[in-house]
Amino acid sequence: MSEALRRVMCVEDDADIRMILEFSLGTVGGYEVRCCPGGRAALEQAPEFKPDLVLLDVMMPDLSGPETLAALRELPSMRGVPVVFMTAKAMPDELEQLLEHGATGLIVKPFDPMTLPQDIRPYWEHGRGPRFG
Amino acid sequence: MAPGSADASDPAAGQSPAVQAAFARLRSQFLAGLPQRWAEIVSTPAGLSRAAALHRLTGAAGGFGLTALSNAARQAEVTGGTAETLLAVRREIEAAGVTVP
Repeated sequence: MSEALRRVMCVEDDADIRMILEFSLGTVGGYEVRCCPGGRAALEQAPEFKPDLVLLDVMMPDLSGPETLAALRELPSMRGVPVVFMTAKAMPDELEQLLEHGATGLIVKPFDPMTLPQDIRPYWEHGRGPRFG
Repeated sequence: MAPGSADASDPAAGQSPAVQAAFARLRSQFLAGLPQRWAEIVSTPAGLSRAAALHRLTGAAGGFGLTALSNAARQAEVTGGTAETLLAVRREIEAAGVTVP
């Protein structure tokens, strides 16, 4: 893990949400952001981009969030990198089930684009921040 | 607040003028795409695909401060897209100042 949170990879199939993630984390937060439209693209780009943290959508058409997380964990460069699910599902039992896949935490959509840059920091700083940030 | 967006909050309020302007541009793009989203929702047979489209709208609309539209989309998703809940989604799109066919 690098000394500061600099590079954030976002994996999200919705183009509008990718757009607001880039705005939030790049323009507002000042991070270097790489947005991927699906799990396969993330698996291809993660070794080169070397993210400090990954925000991962749960419902995606090519690979689901849990499938992508499992595959990311197989990449040597991604072991130990915090991966945070983003989901619009709001039922507590569904959220608990998602965490059982081994994610570092969860961000519930819709998120506030102005506070998201701060909201993700605990997941990077402590490995496991607020569970339902 | 943009004309016609009576239900919208502005997440960028209090930010620098440059950030506010950037956010306003993105929200305009999102609003311009709402008729296409609506067409996708109503043209997709009820089921997983329609639920997925409503699910994406829930996340996107809320991020742009359109809380009422986000809530309506979530309600439509969880109820399987009944006529009543879809009508509520349409009403919220129109309340944001967007005309849908």
